[in-house]
Amino acid sequence: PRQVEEAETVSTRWSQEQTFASVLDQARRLDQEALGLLYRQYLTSVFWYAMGRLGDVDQAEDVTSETFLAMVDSIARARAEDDLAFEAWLLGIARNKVSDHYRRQAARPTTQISANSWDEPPAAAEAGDPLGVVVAREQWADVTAALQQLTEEQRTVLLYRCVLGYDTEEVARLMERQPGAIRALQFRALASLSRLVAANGTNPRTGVLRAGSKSRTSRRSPQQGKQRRADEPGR
Amino acid sequence: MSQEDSLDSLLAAPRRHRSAEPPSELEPLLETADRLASIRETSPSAEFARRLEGRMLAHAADLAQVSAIRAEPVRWRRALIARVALIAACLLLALGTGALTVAAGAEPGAPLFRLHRLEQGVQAGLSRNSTSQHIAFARQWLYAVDTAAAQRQGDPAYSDALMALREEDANAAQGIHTQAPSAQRSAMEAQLSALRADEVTVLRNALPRIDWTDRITTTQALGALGVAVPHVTSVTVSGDTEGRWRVVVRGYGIQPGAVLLADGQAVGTLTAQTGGTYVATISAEDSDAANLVVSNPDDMTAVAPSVSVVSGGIDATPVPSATAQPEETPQAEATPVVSPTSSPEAN
Repeated sequence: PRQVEEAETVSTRWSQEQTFASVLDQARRLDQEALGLLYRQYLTSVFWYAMGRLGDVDQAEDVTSETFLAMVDSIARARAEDDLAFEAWLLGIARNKVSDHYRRQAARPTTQISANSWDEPPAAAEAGDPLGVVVAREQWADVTAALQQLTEEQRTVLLYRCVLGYDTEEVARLMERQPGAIRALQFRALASLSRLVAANGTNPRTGVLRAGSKSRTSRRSPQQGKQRRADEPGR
Repeated sequence: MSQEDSLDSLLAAPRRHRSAEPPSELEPLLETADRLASIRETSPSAEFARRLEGRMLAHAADLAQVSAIRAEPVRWRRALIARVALIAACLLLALGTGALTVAAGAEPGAPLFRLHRLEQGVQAGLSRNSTSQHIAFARQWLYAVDTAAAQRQGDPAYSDALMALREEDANAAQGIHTQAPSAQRSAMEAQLSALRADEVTVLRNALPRIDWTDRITTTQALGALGVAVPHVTSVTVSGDTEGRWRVVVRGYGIQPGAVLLADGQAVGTLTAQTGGTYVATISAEDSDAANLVVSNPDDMTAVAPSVSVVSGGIDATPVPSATAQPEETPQAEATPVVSPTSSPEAN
């Protein structure tokens, strides 16, 4: 589950000021305060999602901007019974904006990582630690690049679990799957991602994983094998 | 416990809270998950967050404006609608439908901007919560001020946006002042307080990027928001026999290192004397008395209501300053709408 103190802060905030339902209702009428509340609540989630998909701060900021402007355009039609459902709706917009971004990039051949992305000033939280910035970027840059080679379902479950911090039950609800299916999906997704990252020469432990996965393969039923093939990248 | 379940349990715990070594076959997966999770160590910059919020709220204000114009009138507002419609019809006849359509999108600095502002005034009057509408418009023009300063667009784009911002701020404050104490009034006060905190931030940031005439109006706006700003009560210029001019400035809030500007150019540094008096010596060619202003090191700029020129020992008629304007003090600002525990100065 998400860190307990974070969840308590979110739920306490909605109940002390206004319920989520009333905030959303006011936001649908383009109330400035309500929109501001939603913006501040979900800005980091949308940004992290965009970072997970794009691996570049500038591009993530662009997608984040497009997402919140689109949120204003379509919030009158938003139907979410709680904040989790609303966040999923908002991340759906972000997903579409990321897709638009990749389509635009495909139309004009430019490198995904901008030439200045390593020279730009770091995000605010990292400004005091330049070495930390480089280390942090090395941590996730190649992982996010490999993430794009997974299936949409695999990417979604990993971003929800590892980046946005949802627990299994929440991810199951958002993806309309059973928790057991989510656990299996995240296992296969992480295994695939680890292999992809290792293929780029950054994960020396892959040899152990491959030996383990071979022994698991021999025990799989035909149905499990079909499911595993369906989850392979590119399908 | 299956590997899927084991992995799920390990993912649920932050790395620092994991107890024993995980199974070896899961270590690569956990390492990959931890690396992916390191994205959480980044965050959007405060500057980006602030700009995007302003942009989003301005976009919402525009959408609300369009929606209000298209909305069906409610029966109980017919009398007000009829009166306003008559005015709008006259405007339409006088200006043509095309002009109003163009005015709806007129930006600060555009010829039809004042018509756009008139249209916003009509919309606010029709709104169910005019105070909230004024705050929304103020946010829109605050964003426009920020953009004009960032793009160094200068007058009139910057000055139009600043004037619109101050008008909407004053209208919102006036609207709150007329409301009886209630939860809604408290909510409006909180919104206005937050808006004013953002105004201080944006206007301070704008100072280095705008020209000296806009700095004067921006400084006045900051003063109206409760920020300590320089004030010049009088300027006296006297010449000597060697062709140099002695400028005596009286005022307060003038910081060490403040300079005297003539037509926006620094012509001398002010030296503090006693009793709120400052002195600078300038050359004869810089002594254009109509355009002498004081600029603090933080770019806050003040102009005197008039400049007295002393020549040959005889007091000349005070010359009204060409750039001095009566400082606009919106009526409602006499009523504090900021809670005692908050400060207009966000920075």
